[in-house]
Amino acid sequence: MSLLRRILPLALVLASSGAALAVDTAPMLQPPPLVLPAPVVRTLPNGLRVAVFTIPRMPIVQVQLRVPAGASFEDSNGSGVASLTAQMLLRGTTSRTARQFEADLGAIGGTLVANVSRDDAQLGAGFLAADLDAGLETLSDAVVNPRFDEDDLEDVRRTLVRQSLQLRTDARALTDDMVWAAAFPTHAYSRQPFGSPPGLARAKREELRAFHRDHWRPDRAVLAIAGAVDPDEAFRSAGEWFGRWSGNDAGAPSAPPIPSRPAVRLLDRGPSRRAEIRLLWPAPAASAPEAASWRLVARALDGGQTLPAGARASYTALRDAGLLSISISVPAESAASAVGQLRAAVRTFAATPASSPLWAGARRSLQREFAYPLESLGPLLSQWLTLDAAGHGADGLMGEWRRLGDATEPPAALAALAAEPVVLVGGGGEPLTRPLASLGAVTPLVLDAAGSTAASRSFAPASVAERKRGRNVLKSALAAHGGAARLNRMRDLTMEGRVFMIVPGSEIAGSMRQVRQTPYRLLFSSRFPQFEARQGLHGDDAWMSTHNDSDVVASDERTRAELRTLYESELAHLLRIAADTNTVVASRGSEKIADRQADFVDFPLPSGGAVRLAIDAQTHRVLAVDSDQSPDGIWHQRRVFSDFRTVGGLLLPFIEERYVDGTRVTTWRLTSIVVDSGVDEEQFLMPQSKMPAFTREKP
Amino acid sequence: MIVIPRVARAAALALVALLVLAGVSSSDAPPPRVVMLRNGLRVLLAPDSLATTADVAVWYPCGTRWERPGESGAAALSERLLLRGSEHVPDGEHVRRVRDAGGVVGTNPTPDGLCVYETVPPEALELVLRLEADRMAGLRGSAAAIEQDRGRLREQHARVLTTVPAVEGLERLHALLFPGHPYGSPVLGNPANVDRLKPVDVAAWARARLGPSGAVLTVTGRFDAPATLALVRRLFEPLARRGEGAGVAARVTEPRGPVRAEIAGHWPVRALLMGWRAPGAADASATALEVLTQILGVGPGSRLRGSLPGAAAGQLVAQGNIELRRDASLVWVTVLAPADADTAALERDVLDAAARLAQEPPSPEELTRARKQLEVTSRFAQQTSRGRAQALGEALWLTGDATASASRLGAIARVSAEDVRAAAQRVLADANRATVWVAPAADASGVGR
Repeated sequence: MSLLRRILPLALVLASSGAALAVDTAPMLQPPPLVLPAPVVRTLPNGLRVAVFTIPRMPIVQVQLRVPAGASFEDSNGSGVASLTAQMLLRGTTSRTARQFEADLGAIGGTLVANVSRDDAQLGAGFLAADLDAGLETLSDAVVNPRFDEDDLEDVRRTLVRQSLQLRTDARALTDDMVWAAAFPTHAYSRQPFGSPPGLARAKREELRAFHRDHWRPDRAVLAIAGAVDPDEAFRSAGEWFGRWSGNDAGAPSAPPIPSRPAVRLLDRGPSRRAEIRLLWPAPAASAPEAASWRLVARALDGGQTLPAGARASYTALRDAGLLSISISVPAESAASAVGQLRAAVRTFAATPASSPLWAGARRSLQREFAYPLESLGPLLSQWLTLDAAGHGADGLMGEWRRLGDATEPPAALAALAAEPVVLVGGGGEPLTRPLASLGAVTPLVLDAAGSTAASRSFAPASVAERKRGRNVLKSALAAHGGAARLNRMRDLTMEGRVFMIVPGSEIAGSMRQVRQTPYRLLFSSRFPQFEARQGLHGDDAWMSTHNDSDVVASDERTRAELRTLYESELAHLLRIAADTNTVVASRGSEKIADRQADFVDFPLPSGGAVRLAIDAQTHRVLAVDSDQSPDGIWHQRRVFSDFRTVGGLLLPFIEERYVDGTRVTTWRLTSIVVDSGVDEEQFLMPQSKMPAFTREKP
Repeated sequence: MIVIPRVARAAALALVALLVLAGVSSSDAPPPRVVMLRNGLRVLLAPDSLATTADVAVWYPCGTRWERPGESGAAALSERLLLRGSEHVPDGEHVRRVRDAGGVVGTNPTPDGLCVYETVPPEALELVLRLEADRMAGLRGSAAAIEQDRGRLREQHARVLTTVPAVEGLERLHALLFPGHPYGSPVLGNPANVDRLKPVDVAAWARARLGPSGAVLTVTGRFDAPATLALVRRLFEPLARRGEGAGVAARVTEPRGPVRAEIAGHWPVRALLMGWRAPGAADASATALEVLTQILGVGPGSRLRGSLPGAAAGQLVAQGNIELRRDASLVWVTVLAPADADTAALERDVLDAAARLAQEPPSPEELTRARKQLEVTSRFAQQTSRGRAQALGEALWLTGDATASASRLGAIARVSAEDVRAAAQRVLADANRATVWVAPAADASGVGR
């Protein structure tokens, strides 16, 4: 093999021309100069400014409406109102149902999207240039006459809550979203543009109507149009359809926010192996003359060799303030040292001399990055609208490109970087608190501070008192279900029964069998009219088979993890995990479940995640198990138990109803539970596939 | 008689087509120019003074279509070989230089061919032309590198299976509808066959295809056309003829459907993939099939959205798709449904929707919507240098005619309701059909939790 490896590089050179093509030679090409378009701008009688870019290379048109109606315009209790309002504009008008609206837009092949940031809301639409008039009519109808239908609102609300929760599963994105809350805790910028789940859940239709009435007004809005359009025709059409829009924006308190004092803020997302670190310095707002210089500083930091590997720097400028941020993701145990390294690197950078070639490289890079996306109409309009909002006028694009090329390294920015930053650490939880304390006082940054107390309660590290009470409540439950000693002696457990899956309007009945053997051996068979499957777990190996083992596959890591969780999820196994004195069991208050007062205790699972047991205050039986906790602390799944019977010395439920977000999805009715029957370990091993490829469809 | 060169005729036709469709009087972008070099390399230049980037792309006859039995995976490994360095550029240096210049590097592998491209600031155009010329002249590579790429290919295939919903179903659909033809193999290669390929054979396979003679080079975006063409000639014309050895692809066998399969997937959803084998991209019915696919399964007004309970409410995803290829195309429907969905009813509803299209022509509203959507999608995709390069290059690559991209939009505008019905009757037939169900791996565990 070694001989082959020596010979092959020669054999594989595919050259046949013999032409020597040196790559480093004197340049022969000079690109034509960059030309960035500028719009014609006019103002309608109602105050709406209309900007038209004529770009005829494709017979298409992009329209973007910017309205100062972002999250910072919400009142203090309204997190999510801006986002919900913008999305509801896409759900029909007073003269069109949501379906009709969608159909009319589809008839011109158009697309319409809404986005909300901290400062503003934008609606963007794209269609053929020939359909400009129809497109503007549809867009204006959405803006001027929104429907705010109650059913559509619920639909939009569900979607946004789901997306918001999804965002919270992404540690990096969530920490990025919270930098403004860490840096400017008392300003409206601390709100999340998307809205918080509790805020989205609370928002009422009347609040949305009021927000639309107060902020979706023409006098401070800008309509930008780009594409193969004649300016006069575009202004005529904009005037016709948007001229009927009336009213004045109620405005919002616009004041420079008060920056947080240098501090270490901990965004506690529960135990995590990695920590997301952000170092934050307050910076000038978007309209400040020195904004371009701050961009240069951020780019020089980002592109140079100054920062440790993996660290990135950025400058974000909004209407009232800006933020220079340095970010890095590190193992949780390295968080404190990573913060120290970043601080030292920035202090060194702050002493970079003006003569350094770093600045010239950063200028070129900034200009390239600015110009790169502007050949698409959507990014072009977004960029121009951002510059327009910062007061850079009609020639904003070319002007900004020149500003970036002329930017100088500002002594003020470099001096500011020498000061102590706000440090935000996402993830890690309690184990992080002590190492971070060496950097200064650590204060928590709570998600949804104005929202769900249940969420923050679930994430608070358990106090000594909560642990003590949790152990006491659990002790009673263990006794009620057969005792810790009996649970620990259990070697195997087999359950069989009927499964009913609830679908809208009906139930699908099937059967299932689960066999568990200590440790971590599981066989799960299910059979439904259309489907039959078996899944197996044998320690670190997992597999799945369908159709009488005709198709057997080894499971991937994710499925293996799911099967380990499934192994642990059975009640007797859960109690055995909780009974382990190394398990931290915490009391989490009480609540009524099916008219029974229940005490909650939660504890982590060996496979990851956590569960919460609801224990009857009188009988001490486990009434329900909650699982699938999202980062905001909400438990999404609940299994409610009944029909308890004693089997092999253990008290176990024969009926289980499973709910997801309050909706019942399955019911189990077990016909038998057998404990310690001495099951054969062989059955947990992966079977050999019988493997037919496919079958011909019967006529 | 005045003979208009084919290239000039094509360019003129493209301009006329663009102007007619655009409805505007002029465009800053001159029509694309196509030049064939002495070694057979076809060069397309489409400058655009309003662009902010430049894009260089090379199309090679390097796709599964050219793989003979036992060669599955050769195209995918050849693609990786392109990134392993060339005569004057060490392994990894190509990508680093382009990135340092502020650009991006990408590949777009299809069964019919491989497109490699760089989108860069216009200042870096010369750099990437030199890099591409060096790569076309000769590649480095070693058995060790190919072995390493073989491992990466396996990992990539596994990753795709777990990150793209129902992708294993799509692979099975191709296998069912194109038995014996390379289109039936995964673009990333059949894993078992990839393991059997010898490095020397991969190198020989690549050598036969990655030369100038069978390739197309496109340059789009902001650049000076005469100076760029002069540089292209200087860099690429000396390269010796090579790359014509792609050979003849296998014939597509007669349909033998309907066939079906049920497999386990990696996603916690139940997926239905129902596909029909269709004529190749050059067939006269291709544009009608594109319109048909839109009507059947794209957008809020689609037939599937209207006929599948739960589709409009977002409880399931139903999407129509079309893959136009040289030898034969594929029209298919993907339905992603909850694990507890009524599979029999879903399958019946999809079949009914397809059958209705074959019986009744679409309404005028449906036809207009479908045509507009196709045109809007195509036009918006061509705003960028990269998008324009893809459209023009693909047209030249697949049809030999750079104007095919523009004439396709004209043809779509002319598709009638009866054309759609006739195409549905011809293609959406039982004999052309395959059905694949992908059962959720997490289904069973979900029930148990």
